[in-house]
Amino acid sequence: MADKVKLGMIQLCGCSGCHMSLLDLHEKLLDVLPNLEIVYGPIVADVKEIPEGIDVFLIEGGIRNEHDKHLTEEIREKSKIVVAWGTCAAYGGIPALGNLYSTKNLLNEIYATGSVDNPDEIPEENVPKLLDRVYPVSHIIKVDYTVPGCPPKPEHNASLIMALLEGKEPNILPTKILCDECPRKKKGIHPKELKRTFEGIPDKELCLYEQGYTCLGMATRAGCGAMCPSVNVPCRGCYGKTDAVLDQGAAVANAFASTGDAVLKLSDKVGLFYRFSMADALIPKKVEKKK
Amino acid sequence: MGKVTIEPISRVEGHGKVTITLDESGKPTDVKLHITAIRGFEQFVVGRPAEEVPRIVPRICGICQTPHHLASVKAIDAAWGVEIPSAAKKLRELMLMGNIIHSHALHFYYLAAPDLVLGPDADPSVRNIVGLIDKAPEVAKKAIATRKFGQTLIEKTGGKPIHPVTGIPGGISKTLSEEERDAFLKEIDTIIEYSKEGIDLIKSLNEQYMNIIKSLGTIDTWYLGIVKDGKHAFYDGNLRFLSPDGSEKIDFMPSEYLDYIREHTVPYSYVKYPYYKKVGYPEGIYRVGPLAMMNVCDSMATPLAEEARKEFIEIFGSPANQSLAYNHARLIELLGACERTKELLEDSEITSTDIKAEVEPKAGNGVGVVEAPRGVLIHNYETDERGIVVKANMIVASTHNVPTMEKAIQQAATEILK
Amino acid sequence: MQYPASIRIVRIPCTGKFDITYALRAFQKGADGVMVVGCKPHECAFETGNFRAEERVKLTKEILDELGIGGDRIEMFFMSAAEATKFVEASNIMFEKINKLGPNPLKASQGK
Ligand code: SF4
Ligand code: SF4
Repeated sequence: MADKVKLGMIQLCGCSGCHMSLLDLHEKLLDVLPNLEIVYGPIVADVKEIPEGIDVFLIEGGIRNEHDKHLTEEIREKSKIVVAWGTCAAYGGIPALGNLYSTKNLLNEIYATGSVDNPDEIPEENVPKLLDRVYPVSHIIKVDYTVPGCPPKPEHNASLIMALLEGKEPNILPTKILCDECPRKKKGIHPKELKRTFEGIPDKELCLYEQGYTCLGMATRAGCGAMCPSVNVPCRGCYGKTDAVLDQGAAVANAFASTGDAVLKLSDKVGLFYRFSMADALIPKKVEKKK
Repeated sequence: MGKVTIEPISRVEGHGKVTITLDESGKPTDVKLHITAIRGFEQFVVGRPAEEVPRIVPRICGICQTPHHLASVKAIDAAWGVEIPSAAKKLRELMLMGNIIHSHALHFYYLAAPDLVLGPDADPSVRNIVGLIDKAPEVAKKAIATRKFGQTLIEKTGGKPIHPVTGIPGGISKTLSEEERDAFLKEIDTIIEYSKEGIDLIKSLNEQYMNIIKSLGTIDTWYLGIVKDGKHAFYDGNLRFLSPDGSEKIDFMPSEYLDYIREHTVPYSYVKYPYYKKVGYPEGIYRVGPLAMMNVCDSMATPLAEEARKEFIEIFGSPANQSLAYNHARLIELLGACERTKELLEDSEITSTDIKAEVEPKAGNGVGVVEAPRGVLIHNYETDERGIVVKANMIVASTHNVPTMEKAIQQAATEILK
Repeated sequence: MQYPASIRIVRIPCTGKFDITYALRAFQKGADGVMVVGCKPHECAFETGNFRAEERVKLTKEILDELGIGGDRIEMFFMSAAEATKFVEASNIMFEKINKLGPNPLKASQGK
């Protein structure tokens, strides 16, 4: 194996869950960590400046503000390989649900919740300005690899790092859809009614979608091992789209359209179909009406 | 006159920087903590069906996702007036214990211990978990085992170790099998042993660093925590404020939080500054988390942890006001969480299949509170008659501490730059 | 008779192949409206292709409403391949309607 890989890691508009998932390698960390030199990683170490000459940079989180954008550009300049690490970096993830609101409304709402005593104040001094929406990293800079998942499973992180250590192409994710790795049985039907997750108790063996639960497995990349359906909860698409698809929400919609009126009655379609991928959608934000 | 900016502040989740304005003689005149990131969860859960929110809010924090998941689902139960089966409650509590174990192990061994074990003056490039593995491999191994136990506990109750999914209005979607339970039971005594060793370690470190502990970041504030019948509680209980000198205790129900807690927006930080309403801003700023919990509770809920708390009071007094005593308090909570895990695993109901009550969405307003690893966490939602969220308010654990953190940094800056 | 010159035609083998992605792509690229033209009910060579398209168009309308683009900007029409005049008629109706609605608000919001 080559010299230690100079690794950088950062959390932008993410939650640090991707970093945590790396730690979830647990005792295997002891094998991986000695091969790495973490030259930048504010969550785990005290380094203030991003150094030059980084081999691999893992970016967690999408781009929400000017500071994120600036850091992303700086990282690109200083690193050989940049990885969009996790679904936020790859597709915007949960924070990109914020794209369904204007930044003005977003700020107004946050600083006027029930417990605030001075609802007219909006912070502006010394804090980075929000962009008009959340952007995936690949919309700002060229990204070399994408590892989706919210968060990516520890073994995916390990294979990524091992591949990069050996200087190989990381080829870690299946190209199939989640349904292909889900143990539940399918009959090939479309449900007549759609149910909310708290309605009834799902049958343990049958496909959740065919039972009427709004599972997004058919529009989601395999890789997690169908973790949610395995515990009786419908998939929300956190591994993002497959390579064959341009827009994850449209892929869900194409399937759900076959339920006829049932899907039309569903509240909050966009918030469901694009739960983790709003920032990467063909139409990546709600258009504000002009006044 | 000059200005010093320290950015990023490391080893915290969230983003922050500190600016220090200096006068001609180099004395700090103004010290500010800026939290520089905002995502807007309180806005973008609005319009979502409420049952989806517990699957969204965990992304507020990848370390304490589980408490967010649980406070959220509890808020919906409350808004819709559902009483969940007692086995479901215990499974949710077990999930929370998993998170406390993981997070406390992480915080102490991975984030704080490198400074203490390797010394704060060690080279920053080794003053981290990698350095710890090198210099104290035994400690590192036990830390990893403890964290793994916690994460596995979440996975088996929550479906995923990070960002769990099983909490649904009315209960939980996954049972715990007898096999799964037995596997945890086999390990729990070892994990309890490890956390006892952790307390021994911190006691020896305390002695080594006592003068720093007593001088750096000793601040008088109010304290807020969760107690059940006066005892330390994680999953369920009432909120309690304790005055800086420990003389006043104010207990209130989670649903009354707005009568006691307010937030103040400052122009230079994306985080809102919470304070105790009756005292006002800024005198009413308070701390939450392990240190506050040691102070507000009359006793711990489990025997070993209670013994450890008594020792803690002997060292630090009550209420303990030293920011650096957080580490010790954290390890006491870790021990308490391990003991509580054992109690829950030994409860015959824990493998019950009665885990879900019937639910009807309705217009309502509900508050869900849990003690997260970093302190009290409050979620509050209002739903319309279809059960869609129309208004949300969240006061997250680390937010409560921001005003005090700023004060501590101000104090430290004056101390160091004098 | 002529259909309006600003209309671009995209041929697909059967409206059963109509993918919601196509419509979103069109709006992303700046289209002001989309008409999906399929065979008459019960005349679909693949039996249900046109019904499937209709279901998808209905859902697309709602997605467009939620995204602030407006569901009125997409419509489904049924006619057989031989009915050229019907196509021109339909195009003109759609054209009128879009004219009233004004340009695709996505373009305006991107300042183009
Ligand atoms: S992908 Fe998921 S785990 Fe990673 S930062 Fe985003 S929200 Fe957190
Ligand atoms: S089942 Fe779906 S939502 Fe759940 S972890 Fe897998 S990809 Fe993510």
